[in-house]
Amino acid sequence: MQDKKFFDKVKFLLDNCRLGVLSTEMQDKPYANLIAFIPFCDYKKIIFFTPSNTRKYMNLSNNKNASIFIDNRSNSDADIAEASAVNASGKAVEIKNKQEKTEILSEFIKKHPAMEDFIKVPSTVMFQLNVETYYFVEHFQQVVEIHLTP
Amino acid sequence: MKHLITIDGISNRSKNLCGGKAFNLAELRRLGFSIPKTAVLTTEAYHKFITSTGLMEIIFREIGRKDFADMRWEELWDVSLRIKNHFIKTSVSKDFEHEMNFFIKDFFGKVPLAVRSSAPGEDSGKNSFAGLHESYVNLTEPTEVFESIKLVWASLWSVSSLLYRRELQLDPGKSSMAVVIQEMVNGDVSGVAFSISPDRSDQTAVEAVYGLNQGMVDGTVEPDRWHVDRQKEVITTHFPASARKIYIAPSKSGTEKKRLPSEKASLPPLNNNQVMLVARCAMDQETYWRHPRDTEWTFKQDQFTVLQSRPITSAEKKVDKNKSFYNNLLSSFEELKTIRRKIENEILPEMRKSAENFAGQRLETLSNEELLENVRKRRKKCVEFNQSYWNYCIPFGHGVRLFGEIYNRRLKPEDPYEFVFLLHSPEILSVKRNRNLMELAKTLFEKNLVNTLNCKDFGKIPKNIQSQIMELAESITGMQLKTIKDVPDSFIKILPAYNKEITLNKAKNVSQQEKFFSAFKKNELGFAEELLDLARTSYKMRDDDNIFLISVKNELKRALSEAEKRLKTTPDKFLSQELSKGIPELHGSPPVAMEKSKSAGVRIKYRQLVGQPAGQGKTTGKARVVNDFKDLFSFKKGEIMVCDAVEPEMTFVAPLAAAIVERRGGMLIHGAIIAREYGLPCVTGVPGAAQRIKTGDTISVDGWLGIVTLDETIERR
Repeated sequence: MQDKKFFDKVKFLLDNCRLGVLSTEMQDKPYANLIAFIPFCDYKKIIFFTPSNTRKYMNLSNNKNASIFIDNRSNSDADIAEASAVNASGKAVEIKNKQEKTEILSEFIKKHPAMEDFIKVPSTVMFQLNVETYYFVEHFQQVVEIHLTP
Repeated sequence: MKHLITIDGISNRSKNLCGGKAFNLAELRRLGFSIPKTAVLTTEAYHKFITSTGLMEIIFREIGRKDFADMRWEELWDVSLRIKNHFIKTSVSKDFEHEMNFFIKDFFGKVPLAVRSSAPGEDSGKNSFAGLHESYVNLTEPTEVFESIKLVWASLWSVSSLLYRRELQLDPGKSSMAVVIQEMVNGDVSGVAFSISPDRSDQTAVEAVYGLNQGMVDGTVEPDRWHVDRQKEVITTHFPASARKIYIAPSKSGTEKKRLPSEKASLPPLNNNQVMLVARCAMDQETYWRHPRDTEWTFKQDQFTVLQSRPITSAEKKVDKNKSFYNNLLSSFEELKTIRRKIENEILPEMRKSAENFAGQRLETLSNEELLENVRKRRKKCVEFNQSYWNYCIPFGHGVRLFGEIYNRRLKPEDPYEFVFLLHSPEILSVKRNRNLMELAKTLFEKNLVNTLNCKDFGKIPKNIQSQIMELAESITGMQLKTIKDVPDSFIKILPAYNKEITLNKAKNVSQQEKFFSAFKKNELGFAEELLDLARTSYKMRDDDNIFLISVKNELKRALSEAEKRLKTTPDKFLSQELSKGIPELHGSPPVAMEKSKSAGVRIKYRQLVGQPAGQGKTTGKARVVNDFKDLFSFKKGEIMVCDAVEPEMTFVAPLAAAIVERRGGMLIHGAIIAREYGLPCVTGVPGAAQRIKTGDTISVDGWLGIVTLDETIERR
């Protein structure tokens, strides 16, 4: 198997899954919730949105370390062998630059058209996870780390 | 019962629920052929069983452990063994038992039954799963019926089935199985018929044996054979069996072989009228289905009964070559006994004799022409023995597999590899050699000779110890040493590391052996004893045959070294040509190179690699990747051996290793055998093991789960 194939599999998951689980942390307490996302900048970044009054926003404001878990489970018996998952780990930062935001918004809406209303309101904040490492798992226990260099 | 349909209840709509075999039987009955009283347990019963017991997830986990296409057949056999063991261990529900009991009594009464596979797609126009799934006959107790149904279900996951499905690219995750339950017809004469003979398209072929046809199907009883002209409907040729000696009869434990009475042995099992009746039955089916048919039938007191019928498919023809290979995997007990005799009485003595003969030759005294001739002879022997190795020694390894299958069926162990503990043998040649290495190292320490040896102060080493050092150095390096001074430095350097106490895994005590025998009835004990003895020999020989083969290969190496030496001073075209041919590859496939391809700004790091569990235990340590024979001499006590494939000449480092990891998969490969002998954790079938792991990496080997974890932060846990 080619080593490159693993990164291709990660890309496939990022392109085709719509929701992922964002994990943040506050005062040593982990917190996880579902988010809609898109991969961006040649898979070096993952973009997501959150209202600014949420727990995840507060957590990220205090601690940028975050991870997003994305998988292709189908909730069937076959999952144990056939599901694959990726854990993208890195630092999440808010994107404030207007020009940058506009460019990303249009990409985001292409994948999540129903979320246009949600992401365009002023109280919603755009985040990018700067991915340092992808942890890719398949065949139940096979784990590969993909380290991205900035 | 909800999931049982009688043969007359089968319709086109229930085809998928009943599977191909049952559907074909229903068709035959509609056509007016006599078939045994039959019912079918539908695929829904199978699904209910595997989903309600969690087996479904276990199956997925096992077949999804690695990419299906990447698994060697040895690994598939392991997968199959583990899945089957789960079926064997898992009980059917009380409700199922109750309903089945009621149905059997009501529909069949108190008669012996047969249960047969009937997978959807089986015996269809596209695919024939002939011989891949299992049937059980002469079942007299309801518990036997339940157990046999589970075994038929489990046969969906036999290694042959998995290989066949892979060949045809069928999704094993979508596989399912119905079970035909039939009244047993204990025929006087049985056989098969091909509406078009496999070897002559203008003929119908009929094959027949006395008794049940199980013996003919598995090849233990040779049939009489007839050709019938399809146009003229006359018998054209009769090919009598070379000897009619035995027949298969029903017995309390299923079936048994019996000696054929002399009055029958002298007569063909069918008369001409019966041959024509069978041939017409096959041809009539072909006319109806508009496709050539393969039919199993039986005569009982002149009553003709069709047992099953299937199309002769193009898919069957396409994979014919492979099918003989699949069937090889299931060499019967009798065949294995014959192979054993051949190996013990001919092949191994010849290998030993050749190696000794070559070793006794003084190559330096030969002229160049004589040396050339000598090298060619050695090469020829290497090639011949390699062929024998593949033809006999490899198939004989199935002795262990046969034992494992039977052991698990009878004892239903928690651990599907429990049977291996009955096979350990201190007499394995490589284990014996390693014991000698350890004793020699101990002696060197006791007599304070380690430094003397390191300083090469050979005069101070007693002659008997010198001889031991030379003998072991020769056995490991394959070199022929004239004096102690010729012993390579690498061997001298590694020898002291063998000064360690090792507890070998011993064959389990007598009570465990008794436990095995207690699973057999009195009249089966002879078979059980013979089977265990055969498996022990098969296990031991799996390693020993290689040691002999390597000794012949080393002799070729020696002659080539002599040629190389001469060529340095005197050119010789023919010797040079012979030298350039190198050493023939004797075992297995060459290492699988990993294709490397990097993406800019991306670094791949393998964190956890999945293989097959091959030696129980867990340990953490530094990896030593062995890519070359020379790497073995850098091995440090306590390191983990990582390689593409453990070849028999590499097993001398096993006593120093903390664990073994290799790319080649299977529970019967050398790495796994030697690891078990030393009680080392072992994971085999790890893709790219020797490339993805580097010497010096800290790795954790989990031989229970078949997982290797690479992480510099791992601590001993």
